[in-house]
Amino acid sequence: MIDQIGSPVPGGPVRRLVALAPDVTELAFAVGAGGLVVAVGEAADFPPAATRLPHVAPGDAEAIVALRPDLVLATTAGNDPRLIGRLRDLGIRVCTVDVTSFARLVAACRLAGEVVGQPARGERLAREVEERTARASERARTLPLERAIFVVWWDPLIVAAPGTFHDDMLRRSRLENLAPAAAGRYPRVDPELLLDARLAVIVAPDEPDLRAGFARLTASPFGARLAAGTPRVIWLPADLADRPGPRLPAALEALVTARVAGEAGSGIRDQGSGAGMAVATPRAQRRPR
Amino acid sequence: MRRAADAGLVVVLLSAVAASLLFAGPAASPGEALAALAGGGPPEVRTIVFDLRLPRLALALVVGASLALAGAALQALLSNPLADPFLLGISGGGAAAATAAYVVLPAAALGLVPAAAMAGAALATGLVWWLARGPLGPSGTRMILAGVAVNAAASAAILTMLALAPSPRLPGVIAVTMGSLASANPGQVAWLTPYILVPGFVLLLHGRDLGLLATGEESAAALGVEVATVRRRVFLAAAALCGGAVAFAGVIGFVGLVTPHVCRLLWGQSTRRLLPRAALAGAALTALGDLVARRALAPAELPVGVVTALLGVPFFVALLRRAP
Amino acid sequence: MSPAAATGAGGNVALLRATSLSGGYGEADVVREVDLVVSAGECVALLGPNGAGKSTLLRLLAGILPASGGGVELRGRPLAQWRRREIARVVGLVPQHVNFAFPVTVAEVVEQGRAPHLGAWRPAAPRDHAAVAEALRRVGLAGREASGVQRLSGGERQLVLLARALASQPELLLLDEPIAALDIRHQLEFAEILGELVRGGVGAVLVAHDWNFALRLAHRLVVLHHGRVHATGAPPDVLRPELFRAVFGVEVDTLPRGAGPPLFAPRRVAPEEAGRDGKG
Repeated sequence: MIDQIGSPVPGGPVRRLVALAPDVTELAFAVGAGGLVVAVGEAADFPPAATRLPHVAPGDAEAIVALRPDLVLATTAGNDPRLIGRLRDLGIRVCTVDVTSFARLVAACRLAGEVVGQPARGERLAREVEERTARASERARTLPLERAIFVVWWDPLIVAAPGTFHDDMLRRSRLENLAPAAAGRYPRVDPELLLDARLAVIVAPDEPDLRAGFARLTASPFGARLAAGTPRVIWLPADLADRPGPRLPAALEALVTARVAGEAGSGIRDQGSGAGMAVATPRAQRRPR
Repeated sequence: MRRAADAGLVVVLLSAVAASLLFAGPAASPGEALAALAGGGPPEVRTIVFDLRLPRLALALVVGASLALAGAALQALLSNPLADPFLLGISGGGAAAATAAYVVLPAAALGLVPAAAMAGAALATGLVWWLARGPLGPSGTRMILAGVAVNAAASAAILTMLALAPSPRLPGVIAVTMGSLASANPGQVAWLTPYILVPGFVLLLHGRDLGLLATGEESAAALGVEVATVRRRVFLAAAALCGGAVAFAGVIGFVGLVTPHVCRLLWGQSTRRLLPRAALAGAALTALGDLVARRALAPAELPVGVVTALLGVPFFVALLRRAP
Repeated sequence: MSPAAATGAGGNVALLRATSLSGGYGEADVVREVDLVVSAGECVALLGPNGAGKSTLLRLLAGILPASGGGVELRGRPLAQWRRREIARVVGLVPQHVNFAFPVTVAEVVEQGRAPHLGAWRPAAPRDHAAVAEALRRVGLAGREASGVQRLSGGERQLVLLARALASQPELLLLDEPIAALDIRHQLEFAEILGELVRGGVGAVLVAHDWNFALRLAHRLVVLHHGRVHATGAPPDVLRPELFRAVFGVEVDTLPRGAGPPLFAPRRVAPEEAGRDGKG
């Protein structure tokens, strides 16, 4: 098998699994391998069973080796490639996912299923993700095309560029990404982009640091226009929108819903409260079966 | 007193080796690690001890010895207690090239970063030599000034790379600029160890000459030192040692500066006697510094260059205050 | 231009012979076509105003500055054919000033004088320790081995440098203004020690500003002016009021002293003469 960064993953039974990031943790549980997970990376919070598992610090090769894993799941969204390289050098099987779009998320689901020895489950998960994504994209088809950015950090302004799963979310909600193309996946850009006349929508993960940054921004003279509601900001649940795991379609659904509601002129421009606009509830979580 | 110091050095070195293998982390207890060293123990502990801890220790020893030896030699060569490869811009040049490689190269080619570091160190060395040349060849003072200039240029380059680095590459860039032994692997050690033998030998060979040069080039020439030849050889050897260190461990400052001074306090001024002991002391100090880097804020790991800086700065201040 | 200076005092074998020697630091030569001979047991003093090239000439004679013209022979062989270490075994240099970057003891400095005999690896043998001890004794610093050099007075530091040069047991000493920073007492002490050494058979070339000091020791004088030898010979033949006027630009009073050379006391700056260069 070849993982999503092109490295070979030797086959073999998997009895002990280490998942190094929240997205691959969710993936492991979603393909039915939750019972094999012996440790997770620090920020694992879903599914609930994962929160009770021991944590392993990022970069701590010794701790990972001490766990005697048969397989380590890693992601390009947050794991240090040098650690991955070192684990491979030590003879540990590592499978890395690189989800830069919904299509690759679907492929990652299949890959995860194969690699843990549950190809049928993986295939089923892949199809579910595919269908949910297609349905959400279909709902967005009639929406007017607007220009948007996906903000990862306010100050300095860091946005998601084309070629990321954030960008794919924007496109599938009929939003054109104004971020520059050839400057890396998450480039730092001129804050004047926020004043660009073409910019109609800003999408951001709903997280305390980002809420605080936004509050500071709108309090300053530079952010006056933003405070008045132009462009409008859509806050998405951070644990869905910032994580390229199997629940990503829920984030897409939330974004589309928010746009639809916005178009319906319901006047919901509530950017200050924690409830925000279009928070998809955790009902959308997948229960491991 | 010197005999006692020699014995003390051996004890410190052996303690550093033992501590780095036995007490480096919770994943393998000292008892388990000892069992693994003796040939037994579960396979994962053997992996931890032999594939993770041992290469890292070996790299720390080799890098520490290289930096301390180069520092001691440069201090004598330039008659300047503040000389060290870090201050002469050699580390900076290597780090700038390594950082640029980290930011620019595609993931598959990241194995070339050490080569870039060595090329950068070599380039910085050439630049310092060229800037420092005067009618009688490069002089000690001019070399230091040239080093300051090259360091400034390297810092500017590094800051630029930091600003442009995509976030997944940032940890690697930080490891280079702040020094880190975390990526040690047996291949690196196997390459670096024979590499340092030649420049190391050149420095040891010129130990006596360096002692004479410490009182000035004129005195040294009058006492039989071929000043121009020795200056060139020592500078190149020190630069080679430093380039190797930066290539695999990033910028670890202050080891080259502080170790020779500590050694002088214990063993006196004779540079010939000092050089081999400085190398061993540098090895021990770097290994201990790396241990502190791993354990002080566990499970987070500090870059070892941070630890050496934190320990080195008060020492540096004390040195300045003592100066006549 | 200069009078023949081919034979040494008393017909002794010439240790060092410079023939038409020229050299400098860059494009222009500071020293031009100098002839000079030093023999065993002879002290030659180099005199001249600032910028005359005295220190440069000394460096050329030591072989640490390359000559641009002419040559130097040491023991009959051209300097260029000698290896650095071989020269260092025969010639000892006492520089004017040494910057001690690191705290060193007297013993450590004087031990450096054994380097020409030791090579890269050989540790010091009893013979070397004996040479060091003897050198310290001769300059009167026996017992001060462990003192830090930076704590010594200027005079004592100069004696340490002399001891270092002596530790290599040279046949010829080159001294660059050794008493420039010394008080009168240390000046006289230095002169006595140096005199003893010369009487013992060591040759010496002494660069001095102070002609009265030079006169205590020198068998012959070489007066440099603009890099060339202006005059050379025995002191009474060379040091005359006309020379002081021409080379140093001062008027002097000659004060005879019983036995020994007269004292030359400066009276005033010489009035400018038409067509004469400025001093130095």
